[in-house]
Amino acid sequence: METAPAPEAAGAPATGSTATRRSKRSAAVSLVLVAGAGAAALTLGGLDPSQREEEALVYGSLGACIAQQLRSAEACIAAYKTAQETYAATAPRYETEADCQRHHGSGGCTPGEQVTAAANGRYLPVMAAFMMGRTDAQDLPIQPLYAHAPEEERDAAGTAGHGGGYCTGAGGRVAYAGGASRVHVPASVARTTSTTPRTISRGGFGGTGRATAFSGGSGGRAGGIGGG
Amino acid sequence: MRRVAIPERPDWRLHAARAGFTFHTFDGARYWDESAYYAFSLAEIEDAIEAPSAALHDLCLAFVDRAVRDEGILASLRIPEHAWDAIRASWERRDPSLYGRFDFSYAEEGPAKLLEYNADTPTALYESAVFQWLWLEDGLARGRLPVGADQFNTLHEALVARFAAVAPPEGVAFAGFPDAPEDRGTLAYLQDCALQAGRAAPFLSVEAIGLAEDGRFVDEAGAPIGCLFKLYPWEWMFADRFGRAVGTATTRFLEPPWKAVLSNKGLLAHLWGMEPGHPNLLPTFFEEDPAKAALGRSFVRKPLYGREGANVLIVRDGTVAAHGAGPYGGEGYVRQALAELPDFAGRRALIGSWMVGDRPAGLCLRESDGLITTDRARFVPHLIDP
Repeated sequence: METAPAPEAAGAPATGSTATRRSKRSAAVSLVLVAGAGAAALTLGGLDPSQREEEALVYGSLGACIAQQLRSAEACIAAYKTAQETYAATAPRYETEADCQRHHGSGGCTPGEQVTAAANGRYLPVMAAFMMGRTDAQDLPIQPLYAHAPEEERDAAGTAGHGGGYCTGAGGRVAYAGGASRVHVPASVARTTSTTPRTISRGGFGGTGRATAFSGGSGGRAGGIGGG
Repeated sequence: MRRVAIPERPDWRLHAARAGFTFHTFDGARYWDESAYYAFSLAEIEDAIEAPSAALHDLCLAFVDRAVRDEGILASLRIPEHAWDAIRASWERRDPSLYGRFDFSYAEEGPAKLLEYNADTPTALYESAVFQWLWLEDGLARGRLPVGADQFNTLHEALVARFAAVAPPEGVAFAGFPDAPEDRGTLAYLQDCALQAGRAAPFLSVEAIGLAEDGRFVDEAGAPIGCLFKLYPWEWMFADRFGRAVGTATTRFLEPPWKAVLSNKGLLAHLWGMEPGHPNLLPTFFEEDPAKAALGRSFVRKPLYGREGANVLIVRDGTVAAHGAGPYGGEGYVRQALAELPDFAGRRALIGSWMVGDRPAGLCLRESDGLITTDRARFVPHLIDP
């Protein structure tokens, strides 16, 4: 929603009814997101208009890459092989299956030992797709992709539905509308790879707030928890 | 300062919906209340609220500078020892702050008295910055409000400018509880401001924040968080399992950890100790301090940590006048001289004075039926007389 600026009265006759510039308040208040689009739109990638984008190709399988013929079969095979190797070596590790599913969705995770012995006892997201450059000249790294389906966004999406898309091992978002293999990805996402697997623990913030706000005589607040 | 009753706009809910104001009513009770407004003279705003806010903020910064070098002060505030390094480092780096809100008891007969400083996670921001502003503009356009009326409210411009000045280029992640509508509304508005300052501004649940083994905080997808705005108070952050990682993480925070020194009622006792007799301060003492006897039989006892009036006890002439229930108080209390909120036909008005960065940026008023301003308080708009 765009609100018209307060009428400027520069040069207005000195009637005493309006100041030339109301000095104690904002001259204009505009909202680009709160009104209309809703909060869900905020979590989609690509908000920073200054961020350069790369055109990349995203495929759920080797066959899909070869069939589309945007890249040669050899390039597809090489990319798929690289993605699989990278996947085993660098996929994020989670301590529990629930931690993993919270961010990659149910069915998005697998016991680590099924991928590599080095991930024994941990949980990994399954490799849902792989990403490669539109051309070799871009020199983009081949990256395995994982389902991006954080619980909060799934809850917030409601009936409108959330595209979800993919994320890279380094945590970059790859927005993906089903069917289209060509995607535009911020250069920072396309070029940032994770070189070492990371173990991530979750749920270490929020517990005190939940315990405090929902206990005690007041029965907790209706509208706020952390604010005051 | 006058309270002026006025018929509410019959279509204000439509305006609210259009402006994205989703939390104007809680449990069937109104939160936004435009059946009245408060009117101030320009001199009252500038001399009684704005200038003292700037001066008190300076005093607060001087206190932080003292506190981070004095473990006795940090201990008196019941800040856990494992947080001291993070607090000290954030101050020595001069990590910037975004905003805060002083709460004042103000009546025409005397100077505004500081009740507390919500320096860490203040809410009522969107309704102050936007919907109150829209109310004035609409009232002026429809001829419902006095021609030439103004409002002390540069919040929106100041917030966008502040994000542009201090937010890192890669953006700010905004964390809170997604299931708390008021918090979520405040966060959505701050995301909006950051976006208008040209920064990416994703939301994430505070419970979804991850800690990678390299000590970095990460978002839901595992990406490192460079800068995190959290609508989740520092005392809870420090008490949480990840609290000990704050000091070693590279993530920067809004508000920064040093705000923990200010968003604590113990601040009020220390400020009084630094500037006894300050016209905008109330005599305040830690509950363990025998000097509290100087307050006599009328005082307010407040938990060091607490919000929305919970666990506040008001004693007037030796008798309990009000007592808020709640979960706080385990860390101790301060005792503050009683400065009752001005009474407008049974309604008690609390003035909130906003700071953005180091500058006063606007006003909000909340009205309660009782002596204590709680989360049931109503937001009432204000204007400056022409």
